[in-house]
Amino acid sequence: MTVKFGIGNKRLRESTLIWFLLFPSLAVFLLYRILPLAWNGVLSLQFWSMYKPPRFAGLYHYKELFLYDDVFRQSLWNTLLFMVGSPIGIALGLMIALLVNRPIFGRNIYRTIIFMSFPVMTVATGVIWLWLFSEKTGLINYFLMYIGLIDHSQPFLEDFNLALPSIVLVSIWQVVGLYMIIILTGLQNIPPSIYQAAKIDGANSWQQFWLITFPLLRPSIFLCLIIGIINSFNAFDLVYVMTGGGPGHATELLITYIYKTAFTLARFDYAAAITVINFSLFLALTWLVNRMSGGNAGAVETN
Amino acid sequence: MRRHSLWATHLLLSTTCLVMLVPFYWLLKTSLTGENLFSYPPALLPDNPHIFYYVDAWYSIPFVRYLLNSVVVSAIVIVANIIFNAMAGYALTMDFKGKRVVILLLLSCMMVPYQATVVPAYLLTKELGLLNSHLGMALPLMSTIVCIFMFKASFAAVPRSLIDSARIDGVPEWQIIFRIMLPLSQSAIATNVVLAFTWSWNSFLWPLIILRDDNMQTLPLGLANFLSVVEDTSGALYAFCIMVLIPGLVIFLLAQKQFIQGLTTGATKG
Amino acid sequence: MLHSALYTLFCNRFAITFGVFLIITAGWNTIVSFNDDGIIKGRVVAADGKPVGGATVTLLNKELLVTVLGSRAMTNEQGQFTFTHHNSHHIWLQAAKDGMGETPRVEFRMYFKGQNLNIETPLSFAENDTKGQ
Repeated sequence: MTVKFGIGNKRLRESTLIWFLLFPSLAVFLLYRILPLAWNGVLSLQFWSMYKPPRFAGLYHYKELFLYDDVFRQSLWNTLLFMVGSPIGIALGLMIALLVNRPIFGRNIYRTIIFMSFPVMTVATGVIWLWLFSEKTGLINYFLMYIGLIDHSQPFLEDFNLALPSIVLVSIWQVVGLYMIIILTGLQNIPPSIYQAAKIDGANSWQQFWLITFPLLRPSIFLCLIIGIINSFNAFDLVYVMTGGGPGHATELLITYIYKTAFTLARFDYAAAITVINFSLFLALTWLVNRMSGGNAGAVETN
Repeated sequence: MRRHSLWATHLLLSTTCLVMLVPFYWLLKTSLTGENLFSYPPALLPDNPHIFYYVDAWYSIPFVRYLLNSVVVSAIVIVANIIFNAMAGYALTMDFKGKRVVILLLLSCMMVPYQATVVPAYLLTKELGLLNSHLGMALPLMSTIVCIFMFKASFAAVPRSLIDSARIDGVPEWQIIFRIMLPLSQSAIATNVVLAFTWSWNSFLWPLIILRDDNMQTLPLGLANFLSVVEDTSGALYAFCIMVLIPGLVIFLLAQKQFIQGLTTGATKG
Repeated sequence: MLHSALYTLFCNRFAITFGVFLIITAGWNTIVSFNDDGIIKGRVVAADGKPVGGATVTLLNKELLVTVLGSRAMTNEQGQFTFTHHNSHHIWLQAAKDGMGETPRVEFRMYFKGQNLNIETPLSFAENDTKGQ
């Protein structure tokens, strides 16, 4: 290859072009993902104040969190409970996806209707279900009494034991359409030849499901699990609208506690410490889910 | 397929659809009649519907202002998303020193959920002087990693021969992007538009933190404010809820294909 | 070529939806602008149907959470009254006259602020009112 004069210039130009193209996106991520992560860590180790320069605080906030803060413990427990609800949602999504995948008339309509809860604003969902759960005039109480499951109205969102499950239910209602779509795509990506080969080998449909479908759906289910974890951190909108933290912190999640600490009490340093713990929990759970899905984001070898 | 299994499938799916639709129906019914706000037992069909709650909601809240705010923020986010993501996606199709570091960086940023950044992001936006502004609301959402990779895949699928012949003809780089690559990536653009719209239109926590003025509030915040004022004393709340839902639902119904496509690319990638 | 470009621009679903929305908004605004002078006309009658002159009619504006006093008007000999420049979408009307007591409050909800209203049913005093004398 002939060495052209000015090839150095061309490389430099090309390299400048590339970094110019990457710059805006990288700037956004640097400013709003990486910098805040680092800043969180630093903030959590400081005494921060709006009027004075911050001072080093060491592990003061963490000690306060773990030793003296009951609300934190309650929030942590609630967040974990919330996440227990997500496999239920995924199982439901799986069943619906299996049903919708069959060659039946009107499956596209079913798919659209079930998916309709996804683009709805979470705040609006909160308002709707706040109304449905209402103790005196809500539809749910009426329905449950009508079919005889309960004998008097339950104050779903004011009862210490019922508030969090109610919110988990709404969260599942909102996200089951998304799970369905993801699993449906995974289902449609399985080549039918595998099923035919299995039929020839004499496998019945139960075996087909457990030995073929379920393992091949691992990437989709992994994605659903991750979305489920993110959702439990995301349920801020629902809690804010429906219970505001619940009867006596019964529905206080880590994210709502962070919001209250930082933006109503202006204790940014304490909130940063909670955020650090929140994020570590998220990382730990993601790693766990990855391990349970067999590593490598659940990717499957097709051979 | 056996007959009773077919009927069972339809029954189960119909029940699920019912569960998904009943809340909306109930909302609609209450906004049209307001009959269950105070009376009990609830009636199933609307009795004497009227649209006066909508009139109430219209005159009690500055709906148009909230709508405009939401529209402006979403427009900024969508346009910025397409430009930034396409640029970054294109850059990633080329080989350069440090490419692996950049990709690793982007993948690890995908692991950082939005809530983990909320507190410092507020302080940062305050330093930048962007509190209470449309730009400040739009800034964290202006680029998404999933869409960058989508653009990258879409650009990489353009046949190499096309690009090479254009380069040989001396076409400048930016023209290659605009005239060849972008028109062939229409589905990536459409999906990006749809996803960016959904995230910015429904975003609640970030505007809640950033905004103080009443006339900069977006639709979700307007709804939450109205809820705290009215609680359950008036059907106007539910009318407002429907008014708030309509743009989102209309866009969803018109652009279903792009929605589903956008989510499934995420699924196949994972 | 131009024909197909125009076709894509105007016949795609987004354009059609948006266009329909614009047409509906324009139409509604036109209707409103023709009917929003803020004029309310009505009549007051006694229990036996005879028009009552000289009664005071009170207009109350109902806002979202409270009801406030709007304005007052007097009826003429035929018992008719007119309010001008009202600016509400939800009102209550009540007539009163010395010696005849008060009519029940009647509610009217309108489609837009300042809607012109011609009230068919007259406000009527109750049959046996003991306030009279």
